[in-house]
Amino acid sequence: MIFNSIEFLVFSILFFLLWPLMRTKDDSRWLFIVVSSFIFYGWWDWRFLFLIVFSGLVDYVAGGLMVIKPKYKKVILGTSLIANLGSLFVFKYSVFFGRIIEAAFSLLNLEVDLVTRIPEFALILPVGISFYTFQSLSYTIDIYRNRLQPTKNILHFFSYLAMFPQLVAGPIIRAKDFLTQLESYSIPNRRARWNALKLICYGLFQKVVIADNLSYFIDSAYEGSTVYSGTIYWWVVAIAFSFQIYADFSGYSLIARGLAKAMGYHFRMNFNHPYLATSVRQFWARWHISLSTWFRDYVYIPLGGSRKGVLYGVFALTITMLLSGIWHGANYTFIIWASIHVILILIERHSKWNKKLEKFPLLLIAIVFIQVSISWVYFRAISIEQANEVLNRMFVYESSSLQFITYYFNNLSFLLLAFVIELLIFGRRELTSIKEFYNKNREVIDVALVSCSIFMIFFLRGEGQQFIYFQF
Amino acid sequence: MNQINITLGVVITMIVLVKLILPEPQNNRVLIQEFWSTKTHAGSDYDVVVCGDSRVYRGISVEDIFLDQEVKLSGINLGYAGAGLSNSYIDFALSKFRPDSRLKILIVGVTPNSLTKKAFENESLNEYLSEGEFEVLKHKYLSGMLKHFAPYSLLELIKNEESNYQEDYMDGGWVASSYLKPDSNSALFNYRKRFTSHKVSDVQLDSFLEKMKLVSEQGVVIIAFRPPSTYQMRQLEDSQSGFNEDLIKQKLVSNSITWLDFKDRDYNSYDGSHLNKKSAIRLSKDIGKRLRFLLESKTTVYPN
Repeated sequence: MIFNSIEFLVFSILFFLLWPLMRTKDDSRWLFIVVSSFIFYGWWDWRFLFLIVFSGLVDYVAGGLMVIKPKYKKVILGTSLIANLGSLFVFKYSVFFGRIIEAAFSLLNLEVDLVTRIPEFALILPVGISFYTFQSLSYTIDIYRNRLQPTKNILHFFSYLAMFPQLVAGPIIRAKDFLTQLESYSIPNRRARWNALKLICYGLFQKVVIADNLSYFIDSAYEGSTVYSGTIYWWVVAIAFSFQIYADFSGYSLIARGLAKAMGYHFRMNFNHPYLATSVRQFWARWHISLSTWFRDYVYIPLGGSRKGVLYGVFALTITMLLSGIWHGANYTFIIWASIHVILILIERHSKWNKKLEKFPLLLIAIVFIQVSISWVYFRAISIEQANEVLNRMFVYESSSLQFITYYFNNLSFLLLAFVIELLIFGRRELTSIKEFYNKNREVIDVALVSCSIFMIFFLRGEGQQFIYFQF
Repeated sequence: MNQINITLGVVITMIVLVKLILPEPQNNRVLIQEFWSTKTHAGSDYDVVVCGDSRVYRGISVEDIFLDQEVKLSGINLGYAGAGLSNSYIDFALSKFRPDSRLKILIVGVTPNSLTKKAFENESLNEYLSEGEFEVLKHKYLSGMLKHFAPYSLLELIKNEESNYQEDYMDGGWVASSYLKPDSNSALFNYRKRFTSHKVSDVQLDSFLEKMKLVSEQGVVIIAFRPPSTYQMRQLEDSQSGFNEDLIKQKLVSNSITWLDFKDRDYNSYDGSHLNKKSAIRLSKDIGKRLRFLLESKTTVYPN
């Protein structure tokens, strides 16, 4: 079930009608969340519910055992890691690594056939597997580190793991934050309900108006079904994809946060206008924050972070970023994408070039945005060859007719709109006059913006598409 | 006052104003989705099934095929964008025949594109086939209400200008289409580009011919033809796609399949590939005439 569907509308109406009746008692609240979340997920493919249940059971049992048998903590943690990462490996990476092994053997003139032997069920990528696996793992790891007490109630645990707003595409919530929230409930007051509506409307606007309207333009470019080409054209495609992926994913996160808020819970912010970042490092502090902090807390810092000297810092950063890259998908393109970011961060860290331009924030924002947009080419392309080809067209000048702007007017107008929105947000944050105007008229402006969002969701939505991050 | 209520009031006012001021969207996406979904999930109710790619779904009006038929037949156009004549597609088409039909007729539009490996993936058809039950029911029962909330294109809202591409989604699976300003060369570039990477493949061709033979042996009357387009398009396809019409025709006819020839000059294409509404009706009537002749004489090859 996806947020931008009639099914979900019906589902959420029923959910929020029953929620006030079910939330008052712990067991009924947790059971209601679990059952609703399983219906939400099972709507896509109920067979893969077993995988969530398996992953959850492993960590629920592991968490409990660590308290009962503290001597065996390491073994228990190891078992949990193997089980969780093992299932992730089977469903997400078996074909990728199978091909690598086949290629390695072929270098030795040995023909090994692995990929065709992979069972068919393992070729389907369960929606959201990377999200809930990481969420489940954080529970066990935090208990191992004595930062969290395991919950005794299995429904409590599963209501944390499977809670539908974030189940399939995040934000990745942490057990130590959210289990406590789930222990009680709060009735959203008028302001909270308004904020929830705002988040849901802005999220849907980002997804169905911005991202979905851009998708046709971008897809036709990458699928080669367009007659247009040339340097300017490919730069516009690259920039459009930057906004598409941002609006798509940030839109999902906003809806998830809004739904949680309407239930009386709080999810942390997952995107904080990353394209207004003035450094690549800052970009990562603003992009998919729940994943970045997950990798920071469970990979980068345990590897030593930047505390053990320059070389070790580079090593920790590289490993963390590469894992983050491969987390997104089993393809070399994601590794290249992550590697570009490693290089950009290292250059930035050691040359401090952006410090020299501090007085020109807009210029800094533009430079960082261009760097990020170039790296997104590898993220979007289906192969390294295709990405190289696109970059070649972007950097080796080839004249292009600007007719594509007329042809794709219906799509490109939304790129302009997305750009203007980010510019206004920049103004609201940095320019006192805009800030003051907004603060003075906040209520009216918010009502106008939410009304316009809803209007555009109805009448200017693009072709319904799945959320891009579902595939991760 | 509560902000939620104010917002609700503003939104309702805006929606009412749009509905009062603006005409319905030119291409109502909700109704288009309903059209494709209804066609794909139609029951097994037909005596005649037409299959092929966009030249077929835009170029054949089943209603006009039957216009002068003495025998009462029911039919459906099961053409899809970029459709390839794969076994699964043909099986899908066969599944639409009425089980107790005494005369099952399969009309197949054979284009170079429909015999390429890429087309055999049948992306468009599979997209509709993969719709869940809820989705199908939604199209069937809720489209009447949801059509009022169909999105506009931005250009429509700003300029209120008619789109050059005009299409009517008709009963029976036909999409009558045309350009306000026809350009019989506009499709050539795309086809030229397509044929550089996607040519007619022997594997796909053999599979198609074999399937046709099997279906014919099952007693289904098969009529195959190459949908007419333009002289330039035919030249392009014959020289660059690897399509050998004479060979295909010969192999089909040798398996008791009827092949119909049509002359491009008798029809008008609005983009160099697809027939405009008037020509689509004419082609359908021409097929109807020859079908009647076939049913009367049981001859396998027809004169031009």
